Amino acid sequence: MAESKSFLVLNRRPPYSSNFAKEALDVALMCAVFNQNTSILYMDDGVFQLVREQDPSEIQQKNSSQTLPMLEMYEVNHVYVDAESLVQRGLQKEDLAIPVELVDSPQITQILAQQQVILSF
Amino acid sequence: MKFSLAIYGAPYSSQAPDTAYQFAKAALAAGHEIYRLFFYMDGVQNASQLATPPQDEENIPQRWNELIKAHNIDAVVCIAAALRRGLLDKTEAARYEKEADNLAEGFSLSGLGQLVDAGIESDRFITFGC
Amino acid sequence: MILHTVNKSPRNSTLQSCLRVAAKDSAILLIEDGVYAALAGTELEGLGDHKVYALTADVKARGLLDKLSTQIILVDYAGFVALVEQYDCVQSWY
Repeated sequence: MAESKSFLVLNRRPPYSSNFAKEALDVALMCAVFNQNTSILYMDDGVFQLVREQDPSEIQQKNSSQTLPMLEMYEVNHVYVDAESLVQRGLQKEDLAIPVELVDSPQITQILAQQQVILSF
Repeated sequence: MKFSLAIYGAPYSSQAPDTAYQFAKAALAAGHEIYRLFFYMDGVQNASQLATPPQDEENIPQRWNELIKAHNIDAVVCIAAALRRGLLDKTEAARYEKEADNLAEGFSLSGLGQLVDAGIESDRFITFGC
Repeated sequence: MILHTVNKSPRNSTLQSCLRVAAKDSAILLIEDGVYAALAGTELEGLGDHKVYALTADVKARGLLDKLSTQIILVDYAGFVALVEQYDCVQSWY
């Protein structure tokens, strides 16, 4: 059985202007498929990936937020959101499409220290 | 130590492939092993056999190919990212009935599982993005 | 302990975000456009709390060798590899 390491997928980019959101999510789900201790963290413009009621039909892209519920299904252990990034952007937890754990900067420092592999997107 | 590198940036559009290449060379020179190179997102363009830069510029895919061959490195290109961006090997070109294939020698198409495996098996995993 | 690599100019918010969450015992390696954060007299608040390195090749490329803050430690690619060995995990910021 493969060793289980702690993997963190870190998202800092908004959706749709690049493929980062979709491709980061694919990595997080794959880490969970491999039974790794997987967490995902959204900070800076990455928090925009979680905004509810996205409708990219007129820009002819797939709705990347529709895959977000798979994080829980695949047992990604933690979905962290940087509280300061939300506040800076005038967002609240209620604006987000899935349940998340809000974390502050010192908590993020702790979370980073616990990881063995950090995949930044 | 075993190192794996993930490269997300395209050659000539970002410095990521250059930094990654120089790091890989230095790691090998120091006696470390490169367990895997994983090319993802726009980084798949590093594996194009059609890159044709001017004579006075580095041929980045060729440079990778030489390093891969010299050190027998496992160089994986994410298949989903590659197909999306028009990087196909002979098998995928035949499957999708395309007129040509363009994956350079030394690289292989595979899934994201290879990225996760690299993270599990390596002592250090470094990403080069843009 | 983490080695943070930063490849964006300090005018981009990437370095600020890194500094906000980087532990005091982590090191920061400036690469590519990140080396602009090493210019003397322009250091971002919080940078001085860490050991800060800059990749010599990127500093030279950008003509900054004689303009650097004295707090910056220059490393070549072999030094980059040594830092990765020394620290437990690498977090890349871009």
